Amino acid sequence: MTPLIDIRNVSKRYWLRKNRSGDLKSRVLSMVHTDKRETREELWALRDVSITVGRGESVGLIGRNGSGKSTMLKLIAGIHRPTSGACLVSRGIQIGTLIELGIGFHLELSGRENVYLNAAIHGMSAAQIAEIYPAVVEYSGLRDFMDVQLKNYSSGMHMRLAFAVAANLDPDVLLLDEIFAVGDEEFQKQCRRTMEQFLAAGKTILFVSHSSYTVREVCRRVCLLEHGRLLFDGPADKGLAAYQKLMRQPAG
Amino acid sequence: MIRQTATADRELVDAAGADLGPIGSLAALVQYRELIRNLVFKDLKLKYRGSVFGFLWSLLNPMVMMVVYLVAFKYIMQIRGSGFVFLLLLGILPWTFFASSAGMGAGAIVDNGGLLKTVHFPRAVLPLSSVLFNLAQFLLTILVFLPVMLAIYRTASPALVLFPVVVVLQLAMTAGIALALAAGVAFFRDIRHLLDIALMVMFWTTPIVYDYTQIPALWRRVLFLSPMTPFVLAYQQICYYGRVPDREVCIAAIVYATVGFCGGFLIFTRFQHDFVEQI
Repeated sequence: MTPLIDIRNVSKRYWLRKNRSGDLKSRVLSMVHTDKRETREELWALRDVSITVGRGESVGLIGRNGSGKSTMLKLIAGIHRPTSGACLVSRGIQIGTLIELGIGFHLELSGRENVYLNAAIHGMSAAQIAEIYPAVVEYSGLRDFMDVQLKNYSSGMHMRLAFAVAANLDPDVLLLDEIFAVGDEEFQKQCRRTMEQFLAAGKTILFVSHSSYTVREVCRRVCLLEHGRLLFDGPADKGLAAYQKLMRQPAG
Repeated sequence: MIRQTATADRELVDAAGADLGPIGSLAALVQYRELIRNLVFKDLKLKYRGSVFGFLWSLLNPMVMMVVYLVAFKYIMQIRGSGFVFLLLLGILPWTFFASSAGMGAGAIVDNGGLLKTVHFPRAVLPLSSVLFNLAQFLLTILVFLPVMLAIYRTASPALVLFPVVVVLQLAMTAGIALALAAGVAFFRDIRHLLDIALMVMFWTTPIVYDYTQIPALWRRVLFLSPMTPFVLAYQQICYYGRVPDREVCIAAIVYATVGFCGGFLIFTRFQHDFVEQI
């Protein structure tokens, strides 16, 4: 069976630019002042990582800050491209990304307008949006606030609306980045319930988290990253144990 | 509620869509038309929401400009030409469409960093929706002014059927330039400042506040270096002179539209995967 996501020997290099300036004056000046010259340092966010994910799997990506977890999600989402290797996905599948909640929301627009705009950003057609709209309102529990401008929402309401859109986008693969770090207990429960429903429907989830509890609850498989390398890929309990052990060692 | 996922095994493709090519990128844009529509309406709503006069402001702006030029040219400098107000309007409105699109389009990528870094969608959606927002403004203002002017000057003619054709050609050229600028500014922020200067020069090398027919023949060719010249002349010849535009005007308009759009789109698709790391 062909995998849904196939990451083959992927490396990703970022250039960290120091004294970066896009303007001409400082570029000319930097020819004289060597200390102000733009320097580039390379940072390998991922090195030679290979992972395949099949349909219906739930994979937790764990590791320290800066270990390359988010980069991995952005490569699969198609936001970044690998420096070497190939990041392949099954043709025509819809990939839903929840990397930051509320991106593309506009404070001056009403809740309803924001739902439409946000769903469109994720590639939905007008008919599809009209179809999911009642479910989004229901899920968010913000029925009375849909015609209120977003600037009058509390941050919690803002987040609920954003997740309600994401939960109803109904993609084949859902990429999640640390969304449980925010929100009250009820919201977190709702998120987990949604993820369980997703998995029950045979969908695939890739999930970045620092919470062992949530990872254990949602994922059967984990990938442990350290300095951009894949240290472990296997059952969740073993992976989490390896992660705990790693965290006891000093970073370096 | 949750749709069952498809089960047929399909071939694997690049996650970023890097293997799409220009035709595939164009097809992806069509898929995202709902997003383009939403972004255009968002900008229109935000522009007028909360203001008492709303859309009237968009009519007031060209009217004040016309009064200023009218006083300056007709009464102070005593340059008299027939149809000055109408010709001026047929220059200012398309020019505003072009210049605002170029300005907004230039910032369309760098001003939307958050969105580019978190969601994958065809990047060309952003500059194109800026252009379409300005097109909507242009069409709304021209729909108010044109019938009035045609009635006052009594210059309505069958040539008016060509008016939408010229709009489409100008749209293609403007979209191409906006795409190229959006891509360029992502790599070199200077282009934004350069654009302000270039637009100022172009405003005066396009026959907007002066009459093309009063320019020495030698200089007329030079004016065609401004990409807006053929379009302004076409609008003027169709609406004020009531005839099919001159042959060289038509050719120049078609060339600018084709080369502008294809060039801009190719530049944009060539570099679109590198934007996210430049902002």
